[in-house]
Amino acid sequence: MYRRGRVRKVCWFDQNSIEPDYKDQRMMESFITERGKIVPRRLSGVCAKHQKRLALAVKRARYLALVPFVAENLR
Amino acid sequence: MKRPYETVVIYDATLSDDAILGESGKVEEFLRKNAEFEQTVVMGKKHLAYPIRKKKAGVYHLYLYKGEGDVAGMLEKHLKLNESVLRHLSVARTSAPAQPAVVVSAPATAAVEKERA
Repeated sequence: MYRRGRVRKVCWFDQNSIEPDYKDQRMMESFITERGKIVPRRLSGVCAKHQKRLALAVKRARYLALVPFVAENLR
Repeated sequence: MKRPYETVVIYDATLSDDAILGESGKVEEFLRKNAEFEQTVVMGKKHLAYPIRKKKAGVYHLYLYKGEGDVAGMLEKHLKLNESVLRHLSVARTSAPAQPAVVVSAPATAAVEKERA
């Protein structure tokens, strides 16, 4: 039978036993949008604990110019 | 009480390799004198996401050390005066791995694209 409601997403960090790391450019890039915004956890499925750590990590990565504050020239 | 710290330093990539190694050596020497120096991880030359002081690339070095609370501050003072340093960041180390972990997939980006579609 068809089940209503959304499927609960699992936190990627919990699943892989990894902590957000600001030095990991690829990891940071995978959690920001094309524009450079942090992906909300309702979309990524990251748990509250890791989203908080991820946000801090992304901000550190931005300061170190590993990821952009704002991605320009999108058009 | 000694606490573990890590400092990332971005050197000007237009400098020669020897000059960068020399600057890095100075930082190591400072850390050996004032703290319990552990190791230097050369993260390599990277393209900067945005220009810093009109420079488009930087050489990233990561320093791991243990020290008293004032060591990171003292090191910052030393780095601020250095012209070949584009940017630096010192943080208290947590249990997270020092070296970048390998990312297997990009779940978040996929989720965003799905939402847009």
